[in-house]
Amino acid sequence: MHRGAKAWLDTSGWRRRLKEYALILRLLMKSPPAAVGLIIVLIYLGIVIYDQFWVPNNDVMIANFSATGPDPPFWWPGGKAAGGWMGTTFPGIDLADAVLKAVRIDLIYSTFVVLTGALVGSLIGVVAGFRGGLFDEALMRGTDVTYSIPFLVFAIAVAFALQKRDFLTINMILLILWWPPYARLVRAQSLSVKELKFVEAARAAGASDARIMLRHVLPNTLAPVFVQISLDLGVVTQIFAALEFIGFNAGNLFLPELGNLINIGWTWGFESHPWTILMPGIALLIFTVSVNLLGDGLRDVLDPRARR
Amino acid sequence: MRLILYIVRRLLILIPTLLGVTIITFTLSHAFGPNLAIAVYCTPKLGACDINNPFLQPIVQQFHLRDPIPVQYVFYMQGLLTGDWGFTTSAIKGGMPVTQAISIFFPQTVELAITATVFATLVGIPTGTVSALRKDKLPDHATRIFALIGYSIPFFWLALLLQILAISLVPGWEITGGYSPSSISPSTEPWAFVNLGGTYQLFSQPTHFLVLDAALHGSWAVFLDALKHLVLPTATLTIGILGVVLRMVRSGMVDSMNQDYVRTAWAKGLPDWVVTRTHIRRNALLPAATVIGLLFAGLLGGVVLVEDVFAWPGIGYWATQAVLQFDAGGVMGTTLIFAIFLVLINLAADVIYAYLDPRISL
Amino acid sequence: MEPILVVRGLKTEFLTSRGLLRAVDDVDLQIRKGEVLGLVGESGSGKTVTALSIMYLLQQPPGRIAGGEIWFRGLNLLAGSDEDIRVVPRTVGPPKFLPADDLLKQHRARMNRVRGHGMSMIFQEPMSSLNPVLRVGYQVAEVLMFQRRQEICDRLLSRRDLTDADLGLFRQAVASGEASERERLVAEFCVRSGLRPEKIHALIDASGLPIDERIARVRRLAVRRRRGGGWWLRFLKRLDAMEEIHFTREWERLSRLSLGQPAVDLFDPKKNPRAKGLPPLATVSPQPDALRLYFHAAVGSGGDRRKGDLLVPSEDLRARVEAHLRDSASGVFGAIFGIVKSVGITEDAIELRYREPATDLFRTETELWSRRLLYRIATSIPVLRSVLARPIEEEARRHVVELFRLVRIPEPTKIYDEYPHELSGGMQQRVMIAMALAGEPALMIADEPTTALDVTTQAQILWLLKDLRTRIDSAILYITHDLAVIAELSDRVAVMYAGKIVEAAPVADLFANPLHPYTQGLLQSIVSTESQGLEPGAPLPTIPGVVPDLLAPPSGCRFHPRCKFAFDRCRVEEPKLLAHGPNRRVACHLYPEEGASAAA
Repeated sequence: MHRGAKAWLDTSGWRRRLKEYALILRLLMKSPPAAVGLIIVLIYLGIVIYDQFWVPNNDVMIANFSATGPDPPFWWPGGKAAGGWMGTTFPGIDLADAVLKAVRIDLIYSTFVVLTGALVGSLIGVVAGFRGGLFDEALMRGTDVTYSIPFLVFAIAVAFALQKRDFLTINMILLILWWPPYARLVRAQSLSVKELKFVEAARAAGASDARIMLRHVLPNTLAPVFVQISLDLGVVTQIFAALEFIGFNAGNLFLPELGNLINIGWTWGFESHPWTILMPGIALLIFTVSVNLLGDGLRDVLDPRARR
Repeated sequence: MRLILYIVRRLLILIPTLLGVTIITFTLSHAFGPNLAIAVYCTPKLGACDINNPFLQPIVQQFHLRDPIPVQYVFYMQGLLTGDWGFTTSAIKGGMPVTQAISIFFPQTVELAITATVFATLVGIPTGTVSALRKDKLPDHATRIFALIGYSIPFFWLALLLQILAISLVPGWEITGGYSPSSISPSTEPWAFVNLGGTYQLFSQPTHFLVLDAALHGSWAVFLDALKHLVLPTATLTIGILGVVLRMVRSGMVDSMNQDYVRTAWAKGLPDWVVTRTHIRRNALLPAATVIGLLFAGLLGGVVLVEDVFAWPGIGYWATQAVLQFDAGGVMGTTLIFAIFLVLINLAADVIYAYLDPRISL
Repeated sequence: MEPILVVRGLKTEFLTSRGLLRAVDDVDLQIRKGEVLGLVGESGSGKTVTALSIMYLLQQPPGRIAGGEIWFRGLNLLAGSDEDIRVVPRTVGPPKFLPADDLLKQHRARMNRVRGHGMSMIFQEPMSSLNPVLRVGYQVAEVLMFQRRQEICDRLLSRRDLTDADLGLFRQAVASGEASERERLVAEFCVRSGLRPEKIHALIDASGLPIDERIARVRRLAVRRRRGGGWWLRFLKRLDAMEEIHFTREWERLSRLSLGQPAVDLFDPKKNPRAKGLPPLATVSPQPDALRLYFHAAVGSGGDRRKGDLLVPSEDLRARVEAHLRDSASGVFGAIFGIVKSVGITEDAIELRYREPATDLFRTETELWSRRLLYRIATSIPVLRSVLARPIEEEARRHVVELFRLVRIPEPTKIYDEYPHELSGGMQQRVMIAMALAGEPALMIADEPTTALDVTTQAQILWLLKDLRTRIDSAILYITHDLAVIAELSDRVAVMYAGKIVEAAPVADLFANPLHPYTQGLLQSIVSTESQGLEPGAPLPTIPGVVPDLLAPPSGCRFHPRCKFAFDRCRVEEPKLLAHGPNRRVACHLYPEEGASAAA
């Protein structure tokens, strides 16, 4: 017990890892696209923090039913000052306000989903890769099944099974469906890592299986997981938006969510009010682009073989 | 012969996967389908959800609800294999058997998927090649930016964006929802419709692809109209998957350009185009065959959204309608057909890869 | 004897994340015709980079040739390369940073002609150097299909009918009961007749047909083969001839571009080793353009690969040149063809190229261009390409089978259709050697061809190379770290250390009396056990220290930190590669300069 506590208190390993991360960050900043991606992601993060602590009613859009109609942003041809800098959408919702709130919701939930998926998937994957056998086989066949159904279709099917079409359902679906890629990724990695010498050494030193898995194998499989996490942030945000867009907004029509905003604009006639879909869409696009830039940059830094 | 054996072996490996898929769809259609029907007759408030309720007997019979669940699954599989996929109530007025709905909706989805794939490949492979050959030059940067935006952009938003662009840039362009052009009706073009007991459904003959069929029948008005309907959905899907194709081709080319055997090819004094084609690109595109499955998964996901936005009567549109209208048969059928489609595409990709790459022993 | 390859002051750099690394610094080399030069040194001394620079196969962004000249049979290979373009001002107008693409394209095309054709290379790792998804035979045949297409077309077009002797082979094959014997006979028959073995096997296996019927079918096959594709082959041949001319002219232009003062330099034996034996320019003619072209025609820069020597006897050169320049009404090209015809060259390629009247051969640039375009289009369509290229590939296949026999590959017809991963390392390396021989190059560069193989296979490959030396007339640049191999194979040795040549000498002299301390160390660490009779168990003598970091090389002599003879001057002044005795050169302050510097 005492030894275990000591091992956890031993900070040298963490410090070394921190140094590694600092090096990765430095390398990342050397590549202009990745640096741009990182900066934009940080800006989005700033928006999230700002919304979280300084914006009241940050989980509902403020509607104004007495508004005459959607006003274009003030810089739009024929725009009025009433429109604000992003315009308004139906029914009298200020887009600037709504988009900022939507960014918070989208980011927080997609991060939650991705991190949970990565955690669960990594644990399952490392056990499967390390132990092998029946569990591994079952995992591979099971993930084969999830891979053989297009994700959006699968999400629709699960939503049907849950008999609900609101935002929480989307979260449930994604939590259910998002771990298999990570499990496969980590499994493949740990298959190669477990053959390495230091695992042998740890085993020779009498470490338990669980300890080897958590302290030796898992940390060495994490590089591609980080890359996948950063790429998935964009994908999950897109899926949130897509599901909201195709009608999973039941229950809370005024949920500030980018897909919901686009859906509102679409339903009420976007052809005469293009800004109602352009603004939330651009906010979404910039985020996914920057996350992809960051992910590609991370991949280059973490995996020198994949340098393009 | 060895190829046939290989295909058979791969098909056998597919069986557990497909069984897993059917278990999922069984859960959907049987665990929730009957409940839904039962809920119509007995609400929890009344508290009388008795399986002996005479109103429920047709459903109980249909789903074999008195039997244990494994037996229900066996009956379900029997139904699937004999072509009884249940009944869908969404997307088509009055409803119809799932298999018939598939035969009506599937061609449109395939039409979109194929045209998008063909265009993306035709544009993507040469452009990716140029991009890799001119690495870090202007064409490369342009291609990479385009690819980045292509795979970052949400399909449904791109669809709306293209509509806005078309409306504002092309004079006379209107919102073109749907597939069935206004210029075509059962009375004027009998070859394009099936009679579903009084209602007519667009189901063109003989290829089921309206554009092709219109051309075959010489109905140029229908042809142009159908083409106009096809343009934007196809463009959306094409741009969406073009990003993936470009990345795939480019990174594959760049990888194989640094291989020793390419250096050998240069050392042999082969002309540039021979080195590029036979040595670099051939090796670059081989592993790309394995990514085709992922590409198609993304494509089919995109199809759902694009069909929804453009009200394009395909499987994806049907799927969204089914889930919005709590249609168990529809959800089950669409999931199953998408899964089978994707699995077969993956199989085809693997077989092609194994056929082309001599290192894989069949 | 004439040097084939002269490398002067070659500098090759790599841009690394830590700075500019000069992997090859001021390397001078020369290789004479038919000679084997061993290039020896520790790993990291720049041997491979030297070879890749000569072939212009460096990966370029990180690597680049920063300076120097590479003269290959009288032509500067670096002319028009990207390094060159940056320093050469435009001929008209103010100096400008030229957009590299145009000239570079020409330079690449030119290098494509030189590689495989003029010089070829055997790489260290046969497994990764062979394309995994192409049949090995095809990979060898590619050299022939693209570098010696004219010859192959000729052979195809001039193919004779089947003789009775050939058909006798076929009869024997049919009659033969034993499968392996039949296999051999069919292979032999196919090599002679150029027919595909599968078809012949099918014919033999089609039991029931009377022998006369079978022979009639074989005849029909042969006739069809001979007639089919004739138009296409002739077209390809003409195209090649035109490209050859085009290419020669481009090369000439580029040589001029790089040399600055073209005619004078080209004809100056000091600047151009190929100019030896040509009369001095001043005495010949005031028409430098014509002369330059004449020069190229005469020394054979284009189609004539094998005969690097002068095609024209130098005594009556002047008279001929002047006469032709006077008479020629058709300009400089007419003059060239006149000369070539008048000296009566019978080497097949040349004769073929000039047999037709010059005016017919290439009327206009437009025609050339349009035909090349047509060819490109035809070859872009996969189906058409395979149809069009098939007869050529089949003919090339016969050559490849012969080449495979030359490099002792058993069952060459079978190996032709195998993929690299199906062959053993030794077989793969034999295929690589066959590939290098296929273009009948004047120079072969072998970059540690045995390092990646296991010991017994190494011995076989070495024995093969030694055997080939007597049978081919290519010069060989043999790169290795193994002095024993050098002693076995080469005529002269150059020792490299940290990117520099430290000693060059005939092989016997070097082993008898190594001059440079580094060479001495190398020799001691290898041969000492026998020659000096060390006690068993005593440590082998090695050179202390490690190869220096090329990012920050030591001052002065690069070897001084490891040298037991080092004195003050070594730390400050870099020794030059100076002549020591008639044939030797050494870069060391221990050996003071002996009058004149080394001959180029």
